[in-house]
Amino acid sequence: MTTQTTREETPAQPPQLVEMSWDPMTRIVGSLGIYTKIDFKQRKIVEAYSSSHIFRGYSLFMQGKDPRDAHFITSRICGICGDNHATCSVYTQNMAYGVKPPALGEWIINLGEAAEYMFDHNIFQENLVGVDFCEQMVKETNPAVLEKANTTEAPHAREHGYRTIGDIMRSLNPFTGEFYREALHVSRYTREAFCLMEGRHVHPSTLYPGGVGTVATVQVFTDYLVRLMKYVEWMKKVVPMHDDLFDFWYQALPGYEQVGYRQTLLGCWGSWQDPDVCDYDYRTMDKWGRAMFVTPGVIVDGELVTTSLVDINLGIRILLGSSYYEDWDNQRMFVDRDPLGNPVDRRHPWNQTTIPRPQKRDFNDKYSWTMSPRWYDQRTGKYLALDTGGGPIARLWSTALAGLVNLGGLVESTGHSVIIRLPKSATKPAVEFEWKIPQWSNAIERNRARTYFQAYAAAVALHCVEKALDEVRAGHTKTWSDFTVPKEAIGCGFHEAVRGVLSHHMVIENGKIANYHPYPPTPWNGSVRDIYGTPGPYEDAVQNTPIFEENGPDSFKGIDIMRAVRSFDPCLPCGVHMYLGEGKELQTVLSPTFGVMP
Amino acid sequence: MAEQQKPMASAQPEPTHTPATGKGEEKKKTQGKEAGRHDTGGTGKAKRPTGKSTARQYTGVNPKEPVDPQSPHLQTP
Repeated sequence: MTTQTTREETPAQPPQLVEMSWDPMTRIVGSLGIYTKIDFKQRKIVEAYSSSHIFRGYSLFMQGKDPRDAHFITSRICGICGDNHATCSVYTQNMAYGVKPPALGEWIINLGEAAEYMFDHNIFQENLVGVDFCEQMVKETNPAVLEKANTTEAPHAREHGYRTIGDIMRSLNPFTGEFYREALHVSRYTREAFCLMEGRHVHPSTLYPGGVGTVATVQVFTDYLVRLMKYVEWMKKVVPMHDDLFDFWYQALPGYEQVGYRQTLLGCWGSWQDPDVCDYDYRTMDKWGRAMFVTPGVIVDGELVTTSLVDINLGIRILLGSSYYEDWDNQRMFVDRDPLGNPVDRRHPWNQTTIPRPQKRDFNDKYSWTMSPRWYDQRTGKYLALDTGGGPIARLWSTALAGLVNLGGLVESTGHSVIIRLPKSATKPAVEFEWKIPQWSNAIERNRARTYFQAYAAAVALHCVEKALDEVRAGHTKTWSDFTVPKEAIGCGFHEAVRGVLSHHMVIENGKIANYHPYPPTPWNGSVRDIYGTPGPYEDAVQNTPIFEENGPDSFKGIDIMRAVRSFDPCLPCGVHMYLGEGKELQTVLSPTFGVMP
Repeated sequence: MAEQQKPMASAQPEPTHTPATGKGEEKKKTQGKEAGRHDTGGTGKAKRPTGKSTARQYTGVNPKEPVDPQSPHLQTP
């Protein structure tokens, strides 16, 4: 299959369309822009493109490196979830070297990753997403909604302490809101919890293939537990508060479910290994994948297509079409068959060759450094533009449908929901939360899932800390197994970065890395129109998003677009360039503090 | 003017960094296992390796084991 066909040109633009762009828009500085055409008469976005302007080239400079350095190098892909990469790389190396960490080492990694989810989702949801729904933002974009919020009682006021929805919105105001400031403190102690397990955040210093170098003592786990129980207490306020806020949004603006809506095409690669089952052997990957504490899966229109990591692996295709790369059709194949004898496609990451070709941006042709990862659905022969929904919605959806997870009652998958039970904490009684499969894959439900997954991560951490203490009390203090790097080997790792699916694929030749391809969630979510013209998830979710903002084109903030894109968990845009048509450009620099000085 | 092509010195580029700290698995090959650690088999269906420590792991000076020989040696904070 070639990827070099030319897509049809975009038809001529109707006169009432206004072009607007938001660039940069991601936590990878300056790398993502959203370019839209908005029909203000119909009040909807008719066309959207996502464009990434930075070439990073990890797949190129990993070649020739010592494979044992892979997790230290790939950790630097991200400045906020680097440990997710380090962990996934360690999984990949474990498979390639044929090494199994001691159970205690795996529990420590699991606890580190739980702390990462708790930290990162907290800072994004409470300090960045919250700003989109805060009093100041709503006052500037939908004053009528704020008026209604001020007179709407919050159904769970007893649990979170805010009498009205307007009070919740005020608590979210950046730097002045009570909830906003409390959340900043939570970010601090969750990072401390991570550092207790892996030495340093976000680039772990005690994480290696074969296990960890953390000195496992009763003290280190109780120090972790102290911080975890503070977070458990925090969740008992956060989950009901967000439920109240998001439910109000549907009530205040009927039709808001269409904002950021797209067909349910979700991917989840699973998280937290069970050391009792996982042996890091590719041939048993299906079995240990299904034992993960978040079940891997592909969901199409609410149907769980597979939970098999082997199926997931073999279905991955990296397509081109709108990306600044040359095709690798004529390059060598590194892996013809997987260790089970299944054929491996040329467009699979094991066989990808990266050939950058910088060029001018052209939305009718090539316009991004992002490629187009897709998942090949054997049932239909379609290349699916899966998204992760920012991570949590796909994780909870897959886990709920699979019905495989039950961690001593702390987390229970029912086949249609996920139940999370948190024990009594300092000032609050035990609680039970139930995340139910939502009606839509949209902006509000992506955000709601995030808050539930924060509680899920805390519950998993409670399970893992007990398991780790059991090992220490039994005197099993070994945390690392030694290994030998083979001359020739392949490996793959599947994990959930905070924002969703994460895979690493490695080929070792002559004891060095011959090919290495990390695929984090953003290349999936921020992917571009592929060879078949299928738009990527950001593009798809923004296209047809209705405009609820009360401002006209001259003072338009694009809050509905921001909420749609930000629900996938990219970063707060710090600068906006608006093109208003007819050569007129409005440049506005937004301050996340709304003018408040620290 | 066309650039003159330089001959490649070797198939693999020279490393730009020479590690100053040895890798743990390499040290074990030359120096053997650290004193005070011993393997005890495996656990679970996945046969994850297990290992225990004696007081010798933490000090070479008069290491003291727990009073009850059945009690595991728990690492100090």
